[in-house]
Amino acid sequence: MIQRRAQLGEQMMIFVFIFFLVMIGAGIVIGTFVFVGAEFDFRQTEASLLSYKVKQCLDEERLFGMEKMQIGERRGFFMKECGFNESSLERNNLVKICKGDVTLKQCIDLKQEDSFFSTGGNFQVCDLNDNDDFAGCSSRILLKEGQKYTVLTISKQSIRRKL
Amino acid sequence: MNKKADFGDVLIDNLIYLILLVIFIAGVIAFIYSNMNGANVWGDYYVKQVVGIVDLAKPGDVIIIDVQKATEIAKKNKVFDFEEIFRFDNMKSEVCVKLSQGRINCFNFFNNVNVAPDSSQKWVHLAEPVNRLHLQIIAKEAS
Repeated sequence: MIQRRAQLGEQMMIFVFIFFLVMIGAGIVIGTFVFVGAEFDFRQTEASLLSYKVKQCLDEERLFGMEKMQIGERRGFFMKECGFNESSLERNNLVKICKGDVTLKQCIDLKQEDSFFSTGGNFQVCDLNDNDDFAGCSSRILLKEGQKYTVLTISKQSIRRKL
Repeated sequence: MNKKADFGDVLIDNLIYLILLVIFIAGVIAFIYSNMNGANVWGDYYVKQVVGIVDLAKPGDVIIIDVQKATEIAKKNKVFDFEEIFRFDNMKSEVCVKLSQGRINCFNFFNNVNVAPDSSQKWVHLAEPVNRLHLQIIAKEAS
C-alpha cells in the first residue's frame, strides 16, 4: 500500500516537470519577442491606402449611379469600378461610405442599407481613437459638388506563416 | 548484478522525462535559430512593403525595389536561389516572401491587378549595383 502511494507521487511529478518546461519555454519566447520585436503592424497603413483609393474612386465619379442600385448589386459594381479584388477585400478589409452631413460616429453606427456603400461588418473599432491595439481603421472626408462623403476603411489582415 | 538491474529500472522510469526534455530542447533550439538572424522580422517587413506598393500601383507601372538585405539574409539561411524569395500568386492576390528554409510569410493585396516579372522573366536582378526586385503591373483582364 505504502509502495503504491509512492508510485503515485512519483507519477504526479510529471505535471511539475511539464509545468517547469512550459514556464521556461514561455520565458524564452517572451524574451525573444522583446528582443526582436513583435509583428510589424501594417493594418493602419493598409486601411489608409484603401481609404485613399476609395476616396480617389469617388472623386473621379466612378461610383456615379450606384445609389439607384439594389444593395446586392452595389458590391460588384464597387469592386469593378474601383479596381478591387473582391475575395481579397472581403477577407481582409471592411469599407463603408456615408453620404450626407453625418459625423464620424453617426457613420459608424449607420446600418448597411442606409449607407451609400458598405461591405457589412462591425465598424465600432473606428470609434476607439488613439488605441494602438485597434490601429486598423482609417477615415477620410470628401466634399464633392456640395455633397459630403465619409469613407471608413478597416484592415484586419495579419501575416500568414506557411511551412 | 543487482545494481545493473536497478540502473535499468531507473532509466526506464525516467524515459518519458528524457523524451519530453529532448523534444523541448529541440523546439527551443529551432525557435531561437529561426529568430536569430531576423529572417522572420525581415520577411514580415518585405512582404508588407511589397503589398503596400502593389496596392497603390496602376496597370502599366514598372516597380523596382532594393532587396539587397533580403538576399543577404536568404543566402545566410541557405536559400541560394533568389528567384525563390518572392512569390506572387495572382489567383489569390497574394505575395509570399521566403528568407529561410521552410518558412514563408504571406500577405494579400486588394488591388485587382496581376504582378509579373519583366521581359527577362527574372524577379531579382543581381548587382545593379545592389540586388533589386523588378515587377510589372498588368491589368487583370489583359493577362
